[in-house]
Amino acid sequence: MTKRDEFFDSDEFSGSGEERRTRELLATLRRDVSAPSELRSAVMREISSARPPVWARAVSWWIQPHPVQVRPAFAGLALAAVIAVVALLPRTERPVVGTAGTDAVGVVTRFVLVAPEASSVTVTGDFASWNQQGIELQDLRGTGIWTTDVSLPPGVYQYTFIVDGTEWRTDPTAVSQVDDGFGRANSVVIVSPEGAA
Amino acid sequence: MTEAPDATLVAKVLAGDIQVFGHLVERYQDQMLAYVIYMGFSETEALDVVQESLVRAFRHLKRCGDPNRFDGWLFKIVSNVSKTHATRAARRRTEPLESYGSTIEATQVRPDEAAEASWAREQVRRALDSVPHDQREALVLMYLQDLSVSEICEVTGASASAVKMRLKRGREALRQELEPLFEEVPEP
Repeated sequence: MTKRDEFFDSDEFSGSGEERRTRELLATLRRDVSAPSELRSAVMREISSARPPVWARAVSWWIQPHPVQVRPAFAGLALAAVIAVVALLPRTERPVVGTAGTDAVGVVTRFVLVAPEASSVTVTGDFASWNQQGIELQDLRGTGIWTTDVSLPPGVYQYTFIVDGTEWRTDPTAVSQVDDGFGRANSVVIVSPEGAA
Repeated sequence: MTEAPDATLVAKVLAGDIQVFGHLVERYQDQMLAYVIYMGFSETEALDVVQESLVRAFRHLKRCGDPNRFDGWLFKIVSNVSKTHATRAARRRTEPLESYGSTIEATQVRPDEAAEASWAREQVRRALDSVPHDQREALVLMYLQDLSVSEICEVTGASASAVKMRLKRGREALRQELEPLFEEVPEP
């Protein structure tokens, strides 16, 4: 029995001639309606032209790649300076996103989330076309530390973890978080040929 | 992609893939347009209403509490937008809406049999236009969009008893306007 049947069974007009005739008469107004293709175009044009707020554009500018021109001599000096600074910095563990090596495709980047309460954890992002299935993380030792390795070409990627298939969770130790413009935050990982940060 | 459930498409849009919203537009635009036309709008006005509703849905997509029931939420928006447009149109209209509610007796000579169906349809159209908006909306959603009472409640935000009352009064109003057509088919 459908919801409508249930409703009319309890309605004083159930099966009445008036109800039946109303249905028949209104049915004469039925017609095949096809929206013109321009409607979809107009809607998509309007929603695409909506400019995000200034702060969102500023954040976007900072995380988007930009072509940079450098003088080789200065670049060499700068690179040497960076190498020196990095060499002098004390080594710290970065367990959440790290580099597990390189392969033929790109840099093997390790994603780690500590979530002892979770039954499943996946990661999705730019590199997975934001597919909700995502890439599964494994808690191999049952310690609540979920990990997976993903081979990524060098670049800047936004990503998020999905806990138990429903809860979108940012990476608390990512290098930065950015608003996705829809009320959520995405984590950012920078994959360079030398490794991920 | 086009076969993906609404919830998946909504999640992708919320994740920033704006183009995916186009699939939702394609999925519901015909149904929305039909609803607005049944509510008495011209095709040009109906297109405006549907476009505005879709843009509004995109801008407020975060507020769609249950993406699995995106369609109900979307129809709630189109219902509200069409109500707003109807109010504006009523203000602009020099000829009051009630004047369309002329009964069949007020119309001219009944055409020949070949045009009878078209004539009857026009009478039904006018009668439906004369029914108050809330009752017309309930009638359209029930008899032309095939929604259940609970679904009408979701779209209109009214309680089940209010929806039943609107249907009852709407049917009575139609019967009053279309008395001869109601009498054409005797009750079994």
